Amino acid sequence: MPMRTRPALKWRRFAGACLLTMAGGLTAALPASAQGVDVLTFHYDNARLGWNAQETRLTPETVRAGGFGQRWHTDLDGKVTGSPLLVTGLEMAGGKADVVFAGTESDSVYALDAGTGKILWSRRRIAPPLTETQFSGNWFDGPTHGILSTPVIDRAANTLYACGVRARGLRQVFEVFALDIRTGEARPGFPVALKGTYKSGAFEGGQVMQRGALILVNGWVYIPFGGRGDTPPWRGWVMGVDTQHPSAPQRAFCSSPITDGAGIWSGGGLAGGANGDLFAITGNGDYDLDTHGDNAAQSVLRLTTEGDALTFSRQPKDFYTPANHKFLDEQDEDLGGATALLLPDMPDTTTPHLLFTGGKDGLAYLLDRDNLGGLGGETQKFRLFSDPKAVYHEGIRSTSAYFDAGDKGRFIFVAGDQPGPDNALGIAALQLITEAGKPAQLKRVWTLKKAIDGPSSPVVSSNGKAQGVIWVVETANGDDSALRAYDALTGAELYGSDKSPADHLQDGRRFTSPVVANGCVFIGASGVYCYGLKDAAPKAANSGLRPIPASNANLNRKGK
Amino acid sequence: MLTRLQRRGLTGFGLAALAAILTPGAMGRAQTAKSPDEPTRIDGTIVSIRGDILVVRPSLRHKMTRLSFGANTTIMGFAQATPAILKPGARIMAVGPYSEQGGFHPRWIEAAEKPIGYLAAKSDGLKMDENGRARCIGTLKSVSPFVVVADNGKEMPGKLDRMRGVWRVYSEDRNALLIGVRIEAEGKVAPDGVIQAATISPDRNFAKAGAMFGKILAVQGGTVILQPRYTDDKLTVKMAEGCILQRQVTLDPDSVKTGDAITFWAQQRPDDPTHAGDLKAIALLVGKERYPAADSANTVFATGKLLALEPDVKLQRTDGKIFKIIIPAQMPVVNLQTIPLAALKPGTEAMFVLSRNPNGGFKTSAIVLDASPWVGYGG
Repeated sequence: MPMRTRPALKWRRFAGACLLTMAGGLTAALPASAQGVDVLTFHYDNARLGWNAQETRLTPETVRAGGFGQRWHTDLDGKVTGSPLLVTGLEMAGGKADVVFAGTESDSVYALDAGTGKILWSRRRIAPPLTETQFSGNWFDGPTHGILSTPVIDRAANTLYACGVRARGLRQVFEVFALDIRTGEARPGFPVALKGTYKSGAFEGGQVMQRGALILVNGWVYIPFGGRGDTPPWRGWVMGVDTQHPSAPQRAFCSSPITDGAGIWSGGGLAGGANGDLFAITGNGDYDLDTHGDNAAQSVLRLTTEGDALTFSRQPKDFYTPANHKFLDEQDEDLGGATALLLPDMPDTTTPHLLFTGGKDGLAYLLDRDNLGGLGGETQKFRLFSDPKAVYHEGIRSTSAYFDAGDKGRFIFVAGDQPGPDNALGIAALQLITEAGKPAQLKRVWTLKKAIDGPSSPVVSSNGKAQGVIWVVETANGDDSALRAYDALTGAELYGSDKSPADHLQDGRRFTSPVVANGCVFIGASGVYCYGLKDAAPKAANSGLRPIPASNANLNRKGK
Repeated sequence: MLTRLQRRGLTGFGLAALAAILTPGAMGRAQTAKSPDEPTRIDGTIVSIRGDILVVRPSLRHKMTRLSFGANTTIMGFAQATPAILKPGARIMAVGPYSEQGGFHPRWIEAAEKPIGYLAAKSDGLKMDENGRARCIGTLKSVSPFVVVADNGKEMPGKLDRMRGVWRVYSEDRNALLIGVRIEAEGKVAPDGVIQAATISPDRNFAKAGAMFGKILAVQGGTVILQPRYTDDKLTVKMAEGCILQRQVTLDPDSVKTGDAITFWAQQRPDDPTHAGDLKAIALLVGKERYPAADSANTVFATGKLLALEPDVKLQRTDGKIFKIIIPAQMPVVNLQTIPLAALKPGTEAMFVLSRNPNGGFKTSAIVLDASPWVGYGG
């Protein structure tokens, strides 16, 4: 499918929104300039499909051939816990550039030349990050706790939105920053401190953690929140800021307004439907949706963004909860470790609008977006990973990826931590089986032969519906991190960065996802890494491009 | 006198088959999980119990750690005892100095009637550390002479001439795990840092009482029937004489201004010598009432005038001393009010400071309505 350029106004309204226009399984159309594909949000689009169908250079053949490896690595002032983002052909001082953006745990934002890793601008410590003592939760081992999520970019407005946290007096405050992607300068009216109430309960920054990717829907940026590792009290929240009127009242929704729990903590954040709906998935906590209560732990929730509010109807068509939610709560087997995939339309079935996700219990869940089903109303669920007898499960905690391989089938790739039935390891490929007049079903077609220790969220690159490659980071708690690539149709390993010291990847982050576009793979870790075909000349920025002065002392860049 | 936890730390021997991880740095590494197969241990204070998940505030660092509790988790109780409990056939662990010339001189012995927890680990002889100390696990063959038999049949003789303590080890039930109770636990670490606990050992020398959060179901004279939080259970507790009754009123943090007279309930920071004078707040109190403080909990009540909110929060105590206060997540700003017994109405949520009666059951020395879970007794 040819790349499309949208009119600016339309972009403005839908920037970052559901950029996949699927008609009968057409390939994904990511935002693209004449220079290449842009990646403006986590997993490429608001449907969180994680599929770039416009990758012509990185194919199973070229990746396997041996010329693929690390191109550059740029250390930053903190780890990059969210995914990098990419804008091509960006007009900057002195010329055009393809630019990678990353936020760090030190509350800094960087713009790097995608071809060389050179820092083009940086805004360091846009707020003082929390120390470990201030943070106090039980997640992350870094010395600072600043930007932990994937920012989002409004390409038409040339603005990047990121969420950081700081101490202010007796409170901890989350702020949304808006930066001009050409210069790093703050936009007027920002930063915006998040505040709001839901059912008379106030949003308290000191009770929550912000790991989920930001999402832009109809001019609003939405920010999900979970707890700090079950440290009480905690709540799940979604906060919304009007990007056009940042001082306007914010939108707020709390998934557990009465008691603890129901954090929305997946690294992928919320998924966004074409009509502006948001889909949130919650973790452990109290639950009473089935009795018309407000506590929505262990559930998939549809939030509507029409009018001035962020609304949850509490009707069964707008939520799904596994029937064994109490057991899942007691075992801390969160449903909300993954972000929902809003699958492309399947008009030939009775379930044309599907949602897929996976739980820490190791189960795959297929839901009908037209009627999420309420308590126990899934379209299909089955075990992919984990031993049901295990003391503690870490089945699926990353967002899956989708790939339409044309006549070879439509697939979902799910990464798991623990072995599953029939020795399922690492990544499982599920094929969508569709039949006219029947609900779609999923069938496992292959898994890897080897486990992946702490997989990130995978993504797929392909040239149209062919030459699919799955990309994932094996985080392995840091030192042994590796970028891995697999043939999407067979699961055959094409590449592992741990096979060459020159390709070493340090401190891969669990809740990130590789970004694959324009022949390159960008990874947030200890700084930003870029992998690609080594014999392909890096796409150099315009020679007139000059870095914008900033306090970039002690930043190291390793050219390849 | 050394507690069991302190003794075990000083001996340099962790639980059976575990690498020694006794320094703060090493503890930090262990708790951030290097490998899912690498067992680790933690000691700290329970701050939350939800289903099978315990959140623990470690003693040596401020980052919370989660424990998962499973069917195979053993809760090991310890009671100080005398050498009289050492009987042939007991399962024991002995720790003490060793040299080729002088032999093995146990200083500390843990003894159980049957193998439980780490005392059930297979043993094959004395294990040495680099400081000339040895540990053995096995079955006591005889007390005099002192001989322990490893599971491979190897006899490990020793001399009980430098003994400092004997501990009786026994199985506990889950009611031993209360918020505020200091525990030691060990198990494998899941990739997300949750320790899948194989053993959990409450240490009553540190916190003889703990806190339980729950809903009042009924009050009958000096007895309260409560439903512990996150459960469908019913628990009957007796109110101790002089039981403190309070209600927590949570305040808007923005209502506190510089110059106000306040009290921080706070922890000192032995983990960080460069900030040893700083205090890490647990709660900010407005008014004269205080949370019931735990003994040996390393916490203080610092009362004075709020000097500054930005960039750092500073308190000037009435004696003039100035403290920098670290404000962590979850810190409540509250006013505690004394309430009458009649205020304990069915349906009210409360924190109960509990201790166990020697003959079973619980008694409560303080009840705080609407208490923040974060302030769980024990500090």
